[in-house]
Amino acid sequence: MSKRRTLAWCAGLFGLFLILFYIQLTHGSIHLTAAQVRATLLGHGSAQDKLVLLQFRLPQVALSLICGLCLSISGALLQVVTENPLADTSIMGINAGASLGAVVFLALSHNFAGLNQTLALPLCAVAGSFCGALLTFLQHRQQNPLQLLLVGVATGTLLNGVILLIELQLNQFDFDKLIIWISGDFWNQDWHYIGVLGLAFVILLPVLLLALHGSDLLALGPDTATGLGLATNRKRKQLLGLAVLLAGLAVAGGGAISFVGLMAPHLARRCVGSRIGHYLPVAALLGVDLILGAAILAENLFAPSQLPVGLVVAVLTLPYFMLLLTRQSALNEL
Amino acid sequence: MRHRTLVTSLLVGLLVVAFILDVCSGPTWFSPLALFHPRSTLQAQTITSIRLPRALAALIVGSALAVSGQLLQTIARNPIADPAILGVNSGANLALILGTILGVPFTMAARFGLALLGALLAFGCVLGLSMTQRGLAPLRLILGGTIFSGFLVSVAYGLSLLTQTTARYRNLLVGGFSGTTYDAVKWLLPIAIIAAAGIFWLKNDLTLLALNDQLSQSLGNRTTRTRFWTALIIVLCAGASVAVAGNIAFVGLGIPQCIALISGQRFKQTVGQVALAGGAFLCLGDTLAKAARPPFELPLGALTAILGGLFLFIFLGRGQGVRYE
Repeated sequence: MSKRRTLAWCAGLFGLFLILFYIQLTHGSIHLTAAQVRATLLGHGSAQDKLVLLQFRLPQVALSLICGLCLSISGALLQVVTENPLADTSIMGINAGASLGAVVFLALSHNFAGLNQTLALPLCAVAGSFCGALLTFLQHRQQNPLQLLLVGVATGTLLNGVILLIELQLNQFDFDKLIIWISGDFWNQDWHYIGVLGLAFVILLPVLLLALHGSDLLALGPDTATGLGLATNRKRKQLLGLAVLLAGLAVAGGGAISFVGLMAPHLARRCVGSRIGHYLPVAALLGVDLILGAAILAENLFAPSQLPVGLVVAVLTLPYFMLLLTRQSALNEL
Repeated sequence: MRHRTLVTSLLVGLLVVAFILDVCSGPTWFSPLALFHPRSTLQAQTITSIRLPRALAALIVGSALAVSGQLLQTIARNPIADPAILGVNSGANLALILGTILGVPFTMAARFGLALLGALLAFGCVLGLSMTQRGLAPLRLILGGTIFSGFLVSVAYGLSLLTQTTARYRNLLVGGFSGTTYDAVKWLLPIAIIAAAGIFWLKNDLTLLALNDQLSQSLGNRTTRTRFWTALIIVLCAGASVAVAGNIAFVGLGIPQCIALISGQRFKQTVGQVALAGGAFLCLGDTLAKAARPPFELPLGALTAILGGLFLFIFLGRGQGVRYE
């Protein structure tokens, strides 16, 4: 029964993705008709259409896909590992760490002019996200889910203070660049770059599927899970490492986009129940739809000026989070 | 009792020293004697029209922030509550940005009005969200406040991006007392006096609030009323501070905790010490911001944010004192 429901939801969300995909390709400051899109994709559109579609709009779709998948899966894994329905990359200090990495790179990049920005910036960001996660989880010795959340807030505050100190030393140009990065945007739409990210995700995917085996048992609590034959600590570490890697990928693609990892798994659990094999695909598709929708809004809402995607995502998802907090049931889950 | 007098007099001494240091420091250091016998008219003018108002503002803002932090921790019954974390500051910031965009003249009066309004609205939202039938839920207050604060920051940034006022936005982020005039002090002083009077009026109720609600009520405390007026005082203090000095973290969080380590937790007996320590801390912070790398100034907002984060981190790491329910 639940399997059929999962399939139905997946189909529905995929349909929504196709609709959003179509809107994203046709709408923008230059409007394209369906016929033009088809002609261009088949290889005989005008030069302008080709440029708009292949260099601007398709990369955005691809990046939405990667970021949405990575963020929502990473959020879901974090929630499983910490047994905390409110865990998210932005709350655990991972986003702040990644931002710090990027800030440090931008601040120092004038000294090392030879560095390749397209490669070094995401690397710094990923390294930063690992540091942020490490700080949070090292500090969190007791297995108290709430304390983890508070430690995450503390890590975020600390790292954001350092970010502020560094970013105020930058010139206005770098400052603007940085702050867009921090709010989350598809800052690099180069196909090679997207290819590297996609490849990394494809490599991680089978590892993820292997690691998921038995992770449902974690929800029963450590004692029961161990009793049922699961190496609880090892499984936790595996999933956590994967979650941070995926978050790092997402950060490399779209900057510090927050709250997708919180909202998508949560909604998915509500739709298809709490077995990870069932809700993970739904959550992943939801995440993609959410980011793609936000990207469309960011581009068209206040045209001709554009907003960073992450900002729109935050404005879309935060009310949901606040709603979640105000409901007694959500807090009882803690 | 004797312990308390000793600590208080030490803090008064510290405050005086910090204040004098703040007045003497700057791109060029003046000797403390110059305060009474300035060597030139230039020096006299610098002291009276630039450094004195600045130090006064730092002192008042420091006290106001520290006390508002203590008030918040008292009504939320949670030692990690801080106006900067709970959306009060970001509400005031958002209001200031909106005012800039709508073309409100950037006078002191307008700034205070906007900041207070923004702080009031934001804090009202956060408090409303964290209310349950059983009263204020401390955990909800912290989490909801953090998230709501992030939301407000996003909106403020989005607005300034759309209207191409990111340079202004950046100035708001810096925080600090450069360019403070007597105008600001003139506005700060009455607010500080009102807040002090309010705290004096509420001091017994607030001390009782540290007990649990039922006990406190049975001792004759109307807890809801106390919380309401206290929240207003917090908004007044925090909003005024943002209007003058921008986003300054740590003071509200760390100072009351440090004082609690020395003199215990009872509100009535520690609130004065918290105010003294807050003023002294911010005067010292301002001195550091001015004197560390002359002729540039370090951003005080960033300095205090790092301190605040570190403090929170250590505090939570020791794993004590955080009440979860």
